[in-house]
Amino acid sequence: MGSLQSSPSHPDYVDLAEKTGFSLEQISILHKRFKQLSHNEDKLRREHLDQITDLQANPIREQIVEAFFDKRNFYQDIEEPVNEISFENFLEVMSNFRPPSDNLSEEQLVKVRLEKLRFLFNMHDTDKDGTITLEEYRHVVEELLSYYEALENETARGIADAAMLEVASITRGHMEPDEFYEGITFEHFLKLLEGFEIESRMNIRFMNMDTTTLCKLECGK
Amino acid sequence: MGGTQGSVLFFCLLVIISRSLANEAATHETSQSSTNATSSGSGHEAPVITTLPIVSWKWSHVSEPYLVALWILVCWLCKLVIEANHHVTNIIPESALLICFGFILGGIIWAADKQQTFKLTPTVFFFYLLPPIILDSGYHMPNKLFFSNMGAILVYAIIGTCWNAATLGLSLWGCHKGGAMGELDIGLLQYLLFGSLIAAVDPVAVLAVFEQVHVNEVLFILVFGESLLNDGVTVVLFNVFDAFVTLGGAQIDAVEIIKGIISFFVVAFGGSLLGMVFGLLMCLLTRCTKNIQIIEAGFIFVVGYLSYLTAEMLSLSAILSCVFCGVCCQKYINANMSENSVKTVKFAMKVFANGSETMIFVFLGISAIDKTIWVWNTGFILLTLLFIFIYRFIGVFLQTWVLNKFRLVPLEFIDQLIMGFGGLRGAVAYGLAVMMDETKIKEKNLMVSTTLIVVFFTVIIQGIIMKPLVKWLKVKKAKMSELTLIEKVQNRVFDHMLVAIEDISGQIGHNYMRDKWKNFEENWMMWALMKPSARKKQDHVFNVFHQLNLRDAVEYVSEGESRGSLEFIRNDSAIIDFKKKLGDDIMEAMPDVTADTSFDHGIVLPFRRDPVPSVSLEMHEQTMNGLREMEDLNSHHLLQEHLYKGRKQHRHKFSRNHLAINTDEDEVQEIFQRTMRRRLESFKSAKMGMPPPKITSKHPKKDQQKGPRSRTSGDEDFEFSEADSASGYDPSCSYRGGGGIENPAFMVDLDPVVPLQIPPWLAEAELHSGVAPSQRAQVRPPLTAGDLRRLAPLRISTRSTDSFMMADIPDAEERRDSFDLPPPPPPPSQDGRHQ
Repeated sequence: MGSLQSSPSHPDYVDLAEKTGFSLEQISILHKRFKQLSHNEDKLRREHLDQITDLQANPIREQIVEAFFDKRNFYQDIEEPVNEISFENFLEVMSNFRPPSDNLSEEQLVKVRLEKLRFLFNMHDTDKDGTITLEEYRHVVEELLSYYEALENETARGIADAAMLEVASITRGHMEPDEFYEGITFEHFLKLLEGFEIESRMNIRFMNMDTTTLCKLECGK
Repeated sequence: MGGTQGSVLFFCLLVIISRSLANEAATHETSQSSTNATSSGSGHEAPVITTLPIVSWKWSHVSEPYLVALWILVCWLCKLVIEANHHVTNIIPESALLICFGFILGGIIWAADKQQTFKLTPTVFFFYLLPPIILDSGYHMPNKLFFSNMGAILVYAIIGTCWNAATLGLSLWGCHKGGAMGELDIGLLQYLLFGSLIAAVDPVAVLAVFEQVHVNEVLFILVFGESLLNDGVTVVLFNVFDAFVTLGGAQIDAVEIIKGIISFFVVAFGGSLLGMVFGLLMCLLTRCTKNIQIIEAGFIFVVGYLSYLTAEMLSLSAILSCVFCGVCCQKYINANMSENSVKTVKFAMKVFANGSETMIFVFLGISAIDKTIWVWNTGFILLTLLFIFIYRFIGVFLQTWVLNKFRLVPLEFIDQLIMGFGGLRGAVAYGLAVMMDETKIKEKNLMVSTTLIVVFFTVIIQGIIMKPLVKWLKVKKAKMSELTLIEKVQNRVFDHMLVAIEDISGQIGHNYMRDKWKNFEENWMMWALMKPSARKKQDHVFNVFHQLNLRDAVEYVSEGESRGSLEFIRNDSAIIDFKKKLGDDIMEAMPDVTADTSFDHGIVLPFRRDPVPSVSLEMHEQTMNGLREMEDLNSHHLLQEHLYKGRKQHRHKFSRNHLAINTDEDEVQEIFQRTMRRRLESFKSAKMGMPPPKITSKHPKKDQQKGPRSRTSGDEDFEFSEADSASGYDPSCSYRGGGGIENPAFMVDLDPVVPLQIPPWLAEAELHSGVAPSQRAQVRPPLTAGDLRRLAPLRISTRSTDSFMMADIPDAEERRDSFDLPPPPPPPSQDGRHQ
């Protein structure tokens, strides 16, 4: 795993910038943040992310954190299970949220779109078997709704089931009596989110300005 | 229903319009045209009564409101005529056609009167026609979209408008100095005043055109938001320059200019703030209108209108006040009020807004047919048109260029073109122009006529070109389809994901701010402004789910109605058709419905009655009317049996306070008793291994169905209970098994555990071959109603004061104890019991 020295110098940044598409400033800001999160260590572990206070209230926290430790999101192969990640891996995950640069050809846009969707799909597919099963999907919906205690679990299940049926009817059309819909595959996932402008929505503004100092207090240090 | 709520507003509208039309009473009344009839009617002293008149002619008595009502009718009829044929409106936008109709009407009046007696006066426009439109746009504003593009909208609205005003004023002045328009008595300040009144893009015109072209939502919100907010800006600018003109050029020094700038901000932000205060007030008000639900919708209109008037009174921006009042309150109000009131507000709002929009356009047309206002100055008019057009484009490009440096998703060039082209001017400009003081501005008439020409040019010409242009440039269109449930869920995941990533990466971006705001809102705003019972319904995913459920129920009923009767609820063969039809035809069109026809059977079963009574009351009325005799008998019977009788149907009495149908305690009792009885019987029969009691019915059709069934009842019953215990009547085990889901459309019938079971669509054939249809096939009739969707679990959690929900409570509680009981026997078995 392309590990970095304890304090990456600029040549490393350039290398990373080429790989991930971030600008040098962005990388150095993100690196600062990485250090901050990992308490100046080279590797980031799950408990580091769990310490972020703002994240506590996030209903899908688990899955987000898991996405950072998911080898499918890295460029290189890492042996399972992933317990700690390097800065490079951190950047690779982050790069999924980078807005596409201005002058991309149609083809490249499609590629970006696919990558983003793949990330999303992987996030849902917790057991990594290539399909989002009803159980997995239900889990997501339950987490989303857990915010509102008023809604019972049954509701969440009902919604998940309904959504799943929608999926089944969209992707399969008419089903034969003895068919089971085992889960959403990636192809179906693409089909489902056809109208979803993910390339313009799954973006975060990575600033060239250092804001880490602002949220220092909130990071549970 | 909407009419009642808005009657106050509407009444005011009528009265005041009539005031402006007062002296026209005579023109329509030929017999009195020679006399100078005035509005008061005092001129018509009743003649000395010699004998008791049976009826008397009292035109002057009613003339004012009568004329107003008549004009409203005429304007709306114009719209009716225009919309009758979509071939024309596909090419020429409705607003343009309405103006043309105005020309015609104005021509007729002119021909009859030799003067223009009806005009759009600023009072009528700003006090009665504009507020409903503004309130409507505020109230129906897509908030998330609006606020996430707020920065851009503000830039366009404030800087863009100032830019337009300044450049136009200065350029015209320059051309004047250069001698392009001959002798005109207009100074620099007057030019700036003119520029400021005509700078603003008009929300009415923009909405009318953009609603028909369906551009993508970001583009739409930018143009629309800009047009809304810059109205406030332009009114402020107008007032400032008006004051400057009054002061005269000599007295304006730096202090005055600074004062002007300060007043600009005070007026604009003060107005917005005032609107927010009124919005919050309205939320608090709707928190406690539970007991007067019938007029709670009216509060929205009255308070919204008051926010407008109060701002006007304090000389703050009334338009901004009204917009923000609507924007602030919409979410909480919709949660607080009952569903009926929400619908009422929604529709009444649209009635008023659309109605006044129509009137505005027609009267713009009528007002133009007036010789007295027309002053022609080719240079002035053409240059104004040219500058407006050019500077709008330049302004948009410049601002977008700057904005794109900060935007996550930059605006494309094509979008900018459309934005520039969408700079339609409208009635606000005209209203302001007419408001100018002729003593101070000598060339008022020239400005008014120029404004009119600009309005007509932009609305008609640009409006017509807009649609082909959008098509030609291949502007990204709005998605027409509704969001599916999965997309809603995905949206939700997105929001949370982006926030989480921002948190992790330590960025403070939009998502971060939005999340912080949302937390604040949930913790404080909702607590303060929402009814406790309403708070829990605030989930979008849940709402979509709820909507889908409602739609399914409605669809189910209309499917039944389209088949002529409720027959299919009861009749096996009809169900088969229903299912087949669904399977074949609707599968593609409405995946939701079909997919869910038998979804979640296990859970739904106990609740299956819910959708039926709630929708069937109306059905009762409708189906009872035109049915053939036999069906009449059948459905009547069916209704008596399956639907809870409306003890008090609202059509039997008139009440101003209650519109509720059958919210009667007796009925709740009855529902409870029936369900109990049914359940007890089924329990008994299951225990004893006995078939549910069956009494032969006198309906031949039923006999036919029942025959084979009772013959094999013993077997059936065995199969029945086994099927249920195995197939997961208990919801807890129905889906635990595998990760996948069973084929929705066939789940109930082809339960894997009961391989021998006969699907209902085969049942009829099987009848003849001597094999009894399974009990489950017989259970189907009531089932289809309930299992259309998986509404069941929701019902408990979203318990509201709705009568049917109330009815469920005892039901639901009891149900929990009896989950292990077999389901109630098929309804047909009870048909006879009451006979």
